[in-house]
Amino acid sequence: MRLSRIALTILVVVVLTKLVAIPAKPQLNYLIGLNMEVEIMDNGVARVTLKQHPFDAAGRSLISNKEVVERIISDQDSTLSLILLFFTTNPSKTLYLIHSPSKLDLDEQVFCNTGIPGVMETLNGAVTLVVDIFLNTTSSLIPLGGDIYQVVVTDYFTLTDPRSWIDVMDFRFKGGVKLLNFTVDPTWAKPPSIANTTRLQWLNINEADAPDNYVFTLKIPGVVFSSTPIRLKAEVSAARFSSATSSLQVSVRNIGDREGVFTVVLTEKVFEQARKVSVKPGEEASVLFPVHAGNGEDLVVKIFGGGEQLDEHRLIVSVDETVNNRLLMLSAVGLILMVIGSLLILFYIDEKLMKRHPPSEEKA
Amino acid sequence: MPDAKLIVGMVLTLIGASLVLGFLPVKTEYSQEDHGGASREVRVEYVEKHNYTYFLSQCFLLRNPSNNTVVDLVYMWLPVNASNQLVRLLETNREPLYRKNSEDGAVILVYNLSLMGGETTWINATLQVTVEKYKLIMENLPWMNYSQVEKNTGGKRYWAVENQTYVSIAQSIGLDARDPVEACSRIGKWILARLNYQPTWRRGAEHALILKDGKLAVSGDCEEVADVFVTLARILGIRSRVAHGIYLLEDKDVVTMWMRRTETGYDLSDNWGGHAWPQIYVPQAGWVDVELLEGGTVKIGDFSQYHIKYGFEEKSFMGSTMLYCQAMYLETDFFHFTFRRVQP
Repeated sequence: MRLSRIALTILVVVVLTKLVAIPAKPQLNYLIGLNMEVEIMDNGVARVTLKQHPFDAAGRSLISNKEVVERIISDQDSTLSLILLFFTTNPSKTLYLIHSPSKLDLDEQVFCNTGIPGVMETLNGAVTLVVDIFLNTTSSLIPLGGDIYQVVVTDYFTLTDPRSWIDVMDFRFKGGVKLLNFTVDPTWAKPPSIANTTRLQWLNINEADAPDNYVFTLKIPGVVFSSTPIRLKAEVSAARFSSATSSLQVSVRNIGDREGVFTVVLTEKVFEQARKVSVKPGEEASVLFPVHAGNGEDLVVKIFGGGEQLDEHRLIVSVDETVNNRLLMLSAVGLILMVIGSLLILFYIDEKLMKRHPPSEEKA
Repeated sequence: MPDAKLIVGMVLTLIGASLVLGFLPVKTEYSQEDHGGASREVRVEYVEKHNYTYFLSQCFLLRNPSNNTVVDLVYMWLPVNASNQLVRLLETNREPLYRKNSEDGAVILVYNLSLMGGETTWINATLQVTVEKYKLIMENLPWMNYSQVEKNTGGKRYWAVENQTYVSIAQSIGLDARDPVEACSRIGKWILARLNYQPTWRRGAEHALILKDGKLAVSGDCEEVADVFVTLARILGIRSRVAHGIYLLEDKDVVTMWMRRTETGYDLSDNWGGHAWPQIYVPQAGWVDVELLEGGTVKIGDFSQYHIKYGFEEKSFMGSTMLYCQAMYLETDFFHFTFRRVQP
């Protein structure tokens, strides 16, 4: 059951979290019964079919209400994001294919609780959406060795809003996929109503009954993990330590042909520090680090991009003595010049005085 | 006509004096004898810490809008135990079915209520909430390590860290910041200088940035300010999240605020204080609060006693919903909060 009083939910969030109220337009509130079927196939693809059936607070079906159905259909993108979040923490990196877009199918049925305590009923008609998700691009698939994998499916509806849950969760294991083991979280969640080697089905009458996480150990013979080629290239183009500010400026040059986010890592004796920087091809950017290491200690600078180390540079912390010596030398030269200049002025004055009062004339 | 000796002498003296004055090594304010440079010690020190205790009574009126008897689960959010906040549940007028924690650690009491058609009932909870007002000095903080940056600075629904406009803004603000606190301070100043405060429903960072009179502006309220801050901080590799809670707008011994459902929306008391603000993670200190909307300045680790934390948003991709008290079928008609400050 998804708390799909969409208008109301948005309104409540607005008012409850803000300092000032927003005027609200009265809109039709409704809830949605949710049935999800997940077929896990032996190529590592999960075909997810989500069936939605709207109804009002009195439990009356709204499947014939055009406005409501159209709203559910137009919400396909957000529904799709939610489906992906059952399998991954980052939908933007997940590969999927919409097998069948959201549409009204009057031949389908949704089984759900509509508010009558302890009763689940069948509602005719559903808005269906079918998506193929490539599990090898999700965070749900954890290799355990060989063809054995742990698959974790999270009920994201209940995770996002504790009042929501999936009324029927139906897992089917197709082809060469074998179910070896399964658990659910939390432990007080109800066990499946159907449990055999090819199918697990949960009927959840309320949120407390519904598992938050479904964890399977499966044998899936056809999963292929492709390694990501290194596409980013960068180098440390300069690393300058300033003793005046005890900081290190690291310049990163993108020497590849695509823009990327690089992570510059500075390793000192005590701390490892990292900074992210986005650099376009052929361009350079600089980041600054506070340096905590003492004089004579090593600093190691590494650049990472696309999960790979791209460059490394080492230097030693030192007070810039060469600069200081140079400053001292320049000061000494200045002092010598001052002395010579002063002597020349003194000689000039002495000569002037001698010319005004020549000693021979005085004697004469 | 002056002699060449005088001219050469004066020129040499001037050049010499300028060289001496210009390059003679002198100690700057950054000088440190041990290293011959600026201080390299990490300093994290509380210069002010003071506890304020409130007895909080939160009461919610629930109604069954249907004609039939409804058995429903009711979810009541509680203030959370967190850094600088200690919460103790003293009593509740009904026995909760169980206690639930959200993905980001919010504490929710779940009640099982049965109401006949049209019936109403109250559920209440009384809590002791101790809030720490604090002021933290942070110097020479290191940036987070590689694995923390990789793990904790990604994008979420409301934090568009891959948006190129935000990336270029963040880099222009903070790439040359020496440490994370300096970077956060710059982010805060950048937001405040462009803030076009307008209450709105939450739209996330991506939609909070608008062009106004040809210039970039941050449009929205506390949530947009927090979302923009978190987005920019995460782009720069700083672990950051949003805290949700209540802000006490009145400095009184007893503060009461309420919200009532109406046919067209909600009525609020003038002092209603739903609030959101960003936090940054500092390994040496834990989560540090950042407040940009109190006093018109950027406050990092300078936290007042008026904030009550109800939850955080860090891991949940879609954002964490904080509704104080809600059910599936039953309506919450009235929300009432009373904060009684305990005299120290």
